[in-house]
Amino acid sequence: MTDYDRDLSLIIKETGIYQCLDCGKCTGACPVAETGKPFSPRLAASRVIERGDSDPYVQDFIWTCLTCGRCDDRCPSGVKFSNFVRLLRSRWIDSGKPGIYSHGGAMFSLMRMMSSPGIRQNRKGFIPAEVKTLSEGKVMYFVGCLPYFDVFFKNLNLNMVRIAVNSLKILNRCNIEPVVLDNERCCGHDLFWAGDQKGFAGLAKESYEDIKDHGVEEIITSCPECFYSFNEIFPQVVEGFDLKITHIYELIEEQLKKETNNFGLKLLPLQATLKDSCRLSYYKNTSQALRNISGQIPGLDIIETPDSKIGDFCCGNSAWVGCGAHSKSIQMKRLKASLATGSDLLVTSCPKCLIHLQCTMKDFCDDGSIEIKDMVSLFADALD
Amino acid sequence: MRQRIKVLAFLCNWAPWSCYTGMGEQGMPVPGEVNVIRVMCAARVSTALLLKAFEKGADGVLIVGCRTDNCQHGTGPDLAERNIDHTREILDILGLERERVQFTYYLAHESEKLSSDLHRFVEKMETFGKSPVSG
Ligand code: SF4
Ligand code: SF4
Repeated sequence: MTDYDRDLSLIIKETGIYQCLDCGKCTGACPVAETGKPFSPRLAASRVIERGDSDPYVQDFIWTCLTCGRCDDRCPSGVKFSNFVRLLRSRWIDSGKPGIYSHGGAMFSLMRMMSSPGIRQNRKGFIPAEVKTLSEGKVMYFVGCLPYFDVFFKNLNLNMVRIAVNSLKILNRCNIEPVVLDNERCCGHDLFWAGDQKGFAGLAKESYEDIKDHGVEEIITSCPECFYSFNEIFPQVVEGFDLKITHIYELIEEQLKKETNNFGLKLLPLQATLKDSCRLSYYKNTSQALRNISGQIPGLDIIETPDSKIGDFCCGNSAWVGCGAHSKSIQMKRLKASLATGSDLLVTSCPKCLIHLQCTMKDFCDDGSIEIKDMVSLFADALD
Repeated sequence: MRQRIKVLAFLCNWAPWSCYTGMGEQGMPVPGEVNVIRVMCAARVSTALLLKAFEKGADGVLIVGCRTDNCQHGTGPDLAERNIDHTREILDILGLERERVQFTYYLAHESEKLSSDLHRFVEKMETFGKSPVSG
């Protein structure tokens, strides 16, 4: 047995692949399989056991899987399938082969540049004068990649930074003046999920030190992936990681529970349908927050798609890996389901869902269209 | 010792490549800091490739194309300039000088102009110093 084989058997063991019962629930739940592409998690798992991970079916599989976690959620036997895929990607990267990235790998170049110790970014240009922020303090708002997305996806006219601006307005309304870092580094979620464990570890250490240098004790974020990354992955690689991580939904929910809160919500007579993020729903089990918050906006009528009631369908891509025909097909399906609710708005939790669905909305032609907005901005619209 | 600047120059196969071979014929040396990559069109150099160049340690990147009315493909220089604009906006946020990426164009006989521009670009990058990504 070579070292390489030993690694693989460890991965198989740690992710519970031997516990697979061959029931097929994963394939039944998988959004990629539903597009008609021959794509079976249990087959990929047994191929890895029988033939190793250089099998062509397995290689195609690991760069097509969305790591959405829907299979993990439905598996009766506790198989950690999406992590199995992630670890196989890491073996691929460690063997010196380049990952299969979308957008020519541009996002990975950005992530890696943001990991450079010497980099000094100018990220705060988007913050309007009326929003109050600090450069040092105990509570930080973590912006994430939004300013970069606005440039990179200019053709989609997204205005992604409004998510950050609205988050900051909500924080100000809760009497929080948060730190925003000019040199905030990437959260590394996508590096990690695309298999670059070493790259992630380097980035996480630089980032943690920077954040601590500004006196920060708590990070508030509006991004599901940043939230997941700081919560789940940072502690694995940063020794003594001691930052409190809060999603802005938790903060809003807490305020809303108070008898008198700072919000004073006004009427928004709209019908909306919801899109869960995989990281919040399958990975952090907090999909209720989106419903609790939207449910408090006066006049807002929520109509769920059949899928979102039982655990939502992916937005077609994750971690900027392998966007293909299946991605478009998944996005079409998700948009059609949203249109069928007859809603004015599709409300997302994740900035990436917003980008992916907006991209496919351009292809809709005669099928109609629906406005896509993030939950934070919708909530900010309701502030008086 | 000061580290040497690294410049990447993407040269379109048509007029710029002719200028480049002309430089050789006329004995005009290419600055040692410049690495040349031949592409079929200036527009081939996407924002992703420009970012990759900086990620991999380039201190400056030049896209060398044809004059708009002279492009073999019609839209090459316009697309190249758009890619450069986007990249510059990203460099602004990253905190790198936006002039680290530039577009220039030539007619097929303008070897001398290409040669002096290459030298000038290297000098300019020397005033910026190493990129914080490569340094
Ligand atoms: S759902 Fe779980 S047990 Fe069933 S086939 Fe898939 S991995 Fe195996
Ligand atoms: S993580 Fe998602 S895309 Fe990947 S196999 Fe599971 S259900 Fe399918």
